[in-house]
Amino acid sequence: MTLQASSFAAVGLPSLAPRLCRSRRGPVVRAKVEPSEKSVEIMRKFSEQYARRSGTYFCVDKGVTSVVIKGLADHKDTLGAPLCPCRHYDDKPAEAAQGFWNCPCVPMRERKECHCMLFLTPENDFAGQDQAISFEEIKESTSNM
Amino acid sequence: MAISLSASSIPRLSGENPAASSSMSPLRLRLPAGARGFGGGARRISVNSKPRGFSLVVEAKKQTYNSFDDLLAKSEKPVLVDFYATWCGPCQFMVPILNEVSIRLNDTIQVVKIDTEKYPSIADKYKIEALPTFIIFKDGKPFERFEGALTADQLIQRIEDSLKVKQ
Repeated sequence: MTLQASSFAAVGLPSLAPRLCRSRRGPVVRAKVEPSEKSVEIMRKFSEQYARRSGTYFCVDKGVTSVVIKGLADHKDTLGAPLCPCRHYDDKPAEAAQGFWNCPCVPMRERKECHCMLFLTPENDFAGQDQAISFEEIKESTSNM
Repeated sequence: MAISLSASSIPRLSGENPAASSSMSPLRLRLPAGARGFGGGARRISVNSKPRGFSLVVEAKKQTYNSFDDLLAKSEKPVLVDFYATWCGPCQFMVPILNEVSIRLNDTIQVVKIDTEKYPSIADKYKIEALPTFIIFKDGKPFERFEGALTADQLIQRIEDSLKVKQ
C-alpha cells in the first residue's frame, strides 16, 4: 500500500509557520518526527511475538501494521511507554502512566480487540496470513510519509 | 498570508492532471508560495488555535473561513469529518478511500480531515476517543458518528443511509 501522508485538510486557522524558501530541488520537505530505529525494532519484535502468542495475524495491508508499529515506537520514545497510537487523549503522559492503553492494551489482552488493526483474529475480514514483518518492510511501507 | 482551500484532486493519488480533472476531492489547505508539506505536493500547515483575522480562501468557491465552526456553518452540503492521527494505521488506510468517496459523492458531501494532534481542542470538543472517528455534520451540527476503518463502498453506503433516512 502506498501510504498517502498528506493531511488534506485541516481546518482553517491562521498559520504562524515560517515561510520556507522554495528550494531548487523541488518542494521543501518539512521535517517529520520519526521514531528512533531502536524503538521501531523493539516494537516490531514485540508485535511479531505477541501476534504468535495471541494467535492473531497482521493486516492484509502491511502498511497499516507498519504505521501502527511506528506509532507505538514514537510513543515509546516520547512517553516511555507504547501508548496506543489510534486514540485521542487529553493527557498522554497520564495515560501512559496509568497503562490501560499501553500496548498490549486491556481490550486486546481481555478480548483480542485491537482497533489499530495491528493484531487481527483470523475471522476478521482484514486479517492476512502473516505473523511476521521485517524492518525493511516497515521502512518501505512508510517511506512516503 | 491567505490560505487556500483547494478543491483540486491530488495528483499523486489519481495520477491525473489536476488541471484537467474537475472532480472534487477532500478539501485540503494549501499554503501560498513557499511553505510546503511533504509527500506528493500535499500541503500541511501548522497553526495555533487562535484566529487572528486570518482567513482561509477556498479556491473553487472563494469562501472565507475563520475557524472550523465557520467552515461548518458555511458549508452548503453535509460535511464528513475524519478525525485522525499520523501514526494511526487505520487512519492512513482510509486516505485513498476518503479520496475516492469524496469524488464519488461529490455533490452529496464535503470531506474534511482533522489531525487530532494538531487540533486537540477540536478533538476534545467532539469527545473523540478512538481513531479514526468519522462525524457527519448536517446544518453545522453532528448528525451521525462512527469509528473505525471501512471500505469505500461501506462508507458510501453509510453516508447515503444516514442522509437519506434521517432527512
